Amino acid sequence: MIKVDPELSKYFIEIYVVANTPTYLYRRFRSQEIIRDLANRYSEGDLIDYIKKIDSSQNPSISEVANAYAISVALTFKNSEKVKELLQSYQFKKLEWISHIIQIWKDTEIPTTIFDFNVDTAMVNYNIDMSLSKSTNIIKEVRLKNDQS
Amino acid sequence: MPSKFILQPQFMELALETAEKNKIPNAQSKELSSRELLQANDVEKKWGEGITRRSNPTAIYNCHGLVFASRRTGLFDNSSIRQILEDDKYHEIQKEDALPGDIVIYFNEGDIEHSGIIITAPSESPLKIPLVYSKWGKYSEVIHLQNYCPYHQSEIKYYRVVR
Repeated sequence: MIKVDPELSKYFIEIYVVANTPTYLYRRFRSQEIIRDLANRYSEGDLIDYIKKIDSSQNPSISEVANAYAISVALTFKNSEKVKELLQSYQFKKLEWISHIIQIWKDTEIPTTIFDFNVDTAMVNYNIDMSLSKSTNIIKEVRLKNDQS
Repeated sequence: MPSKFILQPQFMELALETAEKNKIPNAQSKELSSRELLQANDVEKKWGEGITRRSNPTAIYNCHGLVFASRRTGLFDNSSIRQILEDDKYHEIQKEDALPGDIVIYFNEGDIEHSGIIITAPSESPLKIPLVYSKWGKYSEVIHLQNYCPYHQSEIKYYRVVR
């Protein structure tokens, strides 16, 4: 079970309590290194179990609610397919913005499709036109088949 | 960010429309009680010196609910705020022309992060910074300098209703 340090909870409360919109919460939490650490430290299942536990509480405390939101943003650093599978058909009862946070993540997610190019090294053309794609595409690396590096 | 606010069925929504009868999605948050929200005293510690808190914390309405919905409910959707600005005839004005009663909106890369009501014209302040009356999320209604709050300061616009 995830245990959140009380000092960290205080910090999460500071962000949670002044958030006017789910987008603000998502942006502020996602920019914190500590949120990425939470994602690295725990599995998708651990993070979701914590959120569901708080969501099922009758009267959660402010720190529990703020932690649950921070953890929901940590989920956005995880494998999206696994998260979708674990949250599939779950209806949030108490935590009003979690669904929206997950939706923002889905809307802004950058696809990581791998393309196989079969090209001659001498004829590499870096002007790859992806203008027909609906999402943002970033080419991180072009690997050539005869490139041994 | 393009996301539209999804109102879950269990949350209470009021019948709310713009001046042009376009529906405004809204929700009264019941996530935490006002008593529980009083535990957020670190906000007070962090910002308390430079602000005047003028209400108890409540989750029922947010900043946009204070500015555009008379404190009855919360508005969370960027596109609805833009719809209100258009349908209710808000016109952008220059900061130096802002007067008490005009509104200020804080944008962050296109998102509407915060809104408030001007209560002191910038011209009345030595540093030309207006005093703003706003609601900080689920926290309290607060009187603060326009540049002293937890919201992004890179793009701030001022509006007045012109009919």
